[in-house]
Amino acid sequence: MKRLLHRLLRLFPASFRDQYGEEMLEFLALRTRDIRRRQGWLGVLRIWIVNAFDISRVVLVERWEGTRRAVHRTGTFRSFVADSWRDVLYAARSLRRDAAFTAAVVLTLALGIGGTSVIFSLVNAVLLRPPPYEDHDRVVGIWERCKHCSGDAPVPAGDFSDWKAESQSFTHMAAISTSRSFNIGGVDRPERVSGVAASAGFFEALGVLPSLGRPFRPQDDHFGAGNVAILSDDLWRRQFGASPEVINKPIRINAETYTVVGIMPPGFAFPRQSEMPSTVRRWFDKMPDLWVPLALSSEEAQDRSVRRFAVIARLREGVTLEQAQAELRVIDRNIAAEYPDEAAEGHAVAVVAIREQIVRDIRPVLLLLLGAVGFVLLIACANVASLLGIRGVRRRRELAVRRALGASRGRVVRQLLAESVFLAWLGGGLGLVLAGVGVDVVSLLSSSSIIRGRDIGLDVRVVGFTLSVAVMTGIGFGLIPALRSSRANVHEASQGGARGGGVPTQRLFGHFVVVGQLALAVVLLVATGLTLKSLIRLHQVDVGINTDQMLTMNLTLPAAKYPDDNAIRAFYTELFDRVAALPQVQHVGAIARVPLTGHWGIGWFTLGTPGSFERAGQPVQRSGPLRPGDQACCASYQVVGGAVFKALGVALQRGRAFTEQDREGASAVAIINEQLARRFFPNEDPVGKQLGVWTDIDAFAISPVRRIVGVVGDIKQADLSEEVMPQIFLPQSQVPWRSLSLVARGTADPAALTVAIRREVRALDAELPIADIATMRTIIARSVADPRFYVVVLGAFGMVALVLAALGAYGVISYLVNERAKEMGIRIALGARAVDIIKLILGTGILVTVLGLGLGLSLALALTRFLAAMLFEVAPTDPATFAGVSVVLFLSAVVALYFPARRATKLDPVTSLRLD
Amino acid sequence: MVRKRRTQHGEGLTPIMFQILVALAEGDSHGYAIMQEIERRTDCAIELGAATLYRSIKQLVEGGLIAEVKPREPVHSQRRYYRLTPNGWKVAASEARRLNAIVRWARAVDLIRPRHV
Repeated sequence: MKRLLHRLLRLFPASFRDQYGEEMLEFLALRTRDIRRRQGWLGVLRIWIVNAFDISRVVLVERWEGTRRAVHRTGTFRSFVADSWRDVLYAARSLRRDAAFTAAVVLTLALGIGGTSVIFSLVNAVLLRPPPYEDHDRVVGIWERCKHCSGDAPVPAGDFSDWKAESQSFTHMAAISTSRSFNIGGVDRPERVSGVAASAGFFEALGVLPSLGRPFRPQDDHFGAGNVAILSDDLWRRQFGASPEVINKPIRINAETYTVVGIMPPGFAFPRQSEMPSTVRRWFDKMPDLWVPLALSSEEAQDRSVRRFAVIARLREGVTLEQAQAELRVIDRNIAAEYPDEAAEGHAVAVVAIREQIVRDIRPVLLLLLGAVGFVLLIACANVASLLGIRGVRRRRELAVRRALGASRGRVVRQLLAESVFLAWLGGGLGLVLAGVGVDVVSLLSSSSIIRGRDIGLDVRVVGFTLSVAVMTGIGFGLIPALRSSRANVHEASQGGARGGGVPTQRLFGHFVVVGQLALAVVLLVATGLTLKSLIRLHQVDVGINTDQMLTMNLTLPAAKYPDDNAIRAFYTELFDRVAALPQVQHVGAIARVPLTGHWGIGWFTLGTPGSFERAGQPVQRSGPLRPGDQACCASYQVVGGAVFKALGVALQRGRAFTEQDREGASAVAIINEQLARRFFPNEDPVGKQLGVWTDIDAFAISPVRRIVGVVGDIKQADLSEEVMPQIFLPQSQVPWRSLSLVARGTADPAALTVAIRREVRALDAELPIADIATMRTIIARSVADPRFYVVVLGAFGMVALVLAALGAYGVISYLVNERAKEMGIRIALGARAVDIIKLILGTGILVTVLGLGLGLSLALALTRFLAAMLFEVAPTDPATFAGVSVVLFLSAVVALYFPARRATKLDPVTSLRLD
Repeated sequence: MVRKRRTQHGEGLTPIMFQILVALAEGDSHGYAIMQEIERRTDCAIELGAATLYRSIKQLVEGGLIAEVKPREPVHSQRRYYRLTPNGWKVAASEARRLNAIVRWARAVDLIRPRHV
């Protein structure tokens, strides 16, 4: 107890301690005695607790006043500045003399600070910068959250219409369709752009109005109203030379005439993919350049069977998210009571702030990256701290002399701190340059679904962040070595010189630092290893198609020019014939959605013939079509044309492919995939069986009952990581589809096909734009862009961490060898062999490495579960990865340790004994 | 510095400091005895820690309100005795008057009632 009190008292400034220390001890002893007599040991405990707090508080107050007084004593602010400037000049001079040391420190810091700034610029772009909408807090997305599955589902038109008519919580509410393609014609270079149809109130809900012209009026949003369009600033400049004349002028869109009523301000592009929930992100895979009114017919506006709209709204002032959500739920309940047959069961309205919608999915990823880069910065700081510590020891004599000449300890510490802050600024400056490069690299690498690439940049906040990180690291890593080095006294220094023995704490500190560094490096390497393995797994996934020498491009036939099914059929038949005739083309076909470029249509199907429909063994009660909410099984469906299975390289396993006989009027047919055949026709041949098919787009009036004519292999749908669903393929000849992707398999380089195929398309229709020209390999590379991004970023950090940690180990062991040069000399003189010396040095190094490895692996075990969501078929505790990382790290450490150890064996006993 | 000047004029006088001054008005005393006296007079309402006590004493000494004196009879321990300075008397008295005025006022508005009512 008494010792504890003594220790506590030592915390007081010396003057206070000298004056009152003894008396306070006596006070406490007397007090303890009195209280024990009066109240027993419990009372004593209370008194001690009270006094412990009391002492801590007064210590802080006294210390703070002491510091303030010291600042007053040393003089004015001006002399403080002058002193600091002198310190910086002195630091610069002394660092120039030690160029190798300076370079090592500055580079290490630049890597740490630069990396941190790059990731911070991502965080800044996504998490910190507010969405560019007026009063963005009031801009919300409205979704229907599925109770049985995860994610926010889009909304059927009927629900939107009711909400808009009945709710009081919003000033504006608008529905947005999925993005559509628009062919801009009547210009020099016809172009295919992406756009959305939005109901009136869309721009007002976001609080962004056209910079020229006007937003949509309610009368524009009526079915059959005249065609109007609003253009993006980009499109306006690109196609119309930024001419204000274009307002109220007719332009050709999809071979129809539209009147341009507005031009949006530069940069406006809602909805972007990154602003939408993950469930509908694929709908908006292109930035919109064009907006047209939704103009639903009154029949469409009441439809509740298809979820096809995103809804955004602006909250009325003073209404909270919760109130708005509660109101919509009440409206929904009323709808359910009114239309019990059609109401969406199992869905609840969710009102989500737009900002939350943007950051929800990306936040954990960014925080993870921020954590990773924080580790790198820590390792860098630790390295620099140990380098400074070593330098401090070398300079012990100089510092001791300075102290002997009258420099106070505080003055010396300040001098040393000036040096480390100066170094940190140099490192920060170089780090900023590195960050500039890094940001460019990251924005190239990051796919649009993660981060809006062009929004990432170094702004004031990022630069400010970098510089404050630099200063904080400077003080952080400089303080401990400075305090320790300044403790040197003349006596010790002149005795031991720069190579004084008796610094076990110094050595121990260095070892601790290396253990910590290695541990952090292990965590980063494990994270890299796991994401890398996951990426490799993704690449190994069988897409189900032959990806070699395949070219795809998308065509959309405008309704104005191809008004009916016959025109569409005729165009594609002619195109297939022409392209197939090209010598460099082996097979050609078309498919509605090229695999891995987005979600396929979702249809639902039943087995059997009409009248006796059964869904997976469960009899159907309802007479009308089944809806997505209530069936036991769903299927992906695709409309295909030409020799598409040959072009894709998908094996036909049973039956036949579509032929020319499967035309309109002939019996309706379908081809299914293996998955559907296996699951629903387990012990029978599906060919010849009947299938009821409905799709989520009624407009195409697909005949529900079809005969299965063939079975093909499974194809991955939107994503390599998702399960293959039952798939149904419908012939384009019976289900004419306007927008199809041409799939051509060539004999040589697929890119070389582009020109030839483009020529054939032009020959058929010179105005028809071609979009999304890509080889299948490019498409696959794009589909793994997210995981590749994680691997590259984590991998870069992991490598930097490994190199820094190895350098740290090297530095500390080299220092150890120098420290113990005399001892080694004696050992060699006494006959120690090289092996013994190496063992001695390596022994310490390996112990440190093993400790670091152990600590790192346990940390990694605790932390990698945060990665789980980003991994595909790899457990966060994958033993192979952990083992691999251990081996890599161990070997790197041994290499780093070997050099100083070998140098120790080369020591000349005579020279080393003569040292000092 | 600022604090010292303020303490000289009785500003920044904390309740604890005032109680120490009142305790010393009874006569010279040392730290522990001051604490006991305060505890006795305030019905143990205040749990005075050693550090706070000696910090207050230090401030009062620095402000010139109390001074260290030689004990009348020789004592065995380290303890130091303190006495009010003339300035200390003045400051303590004016603070007491100020508080008394407030207490009178509090009584007038019936905040304090005689115990037996």
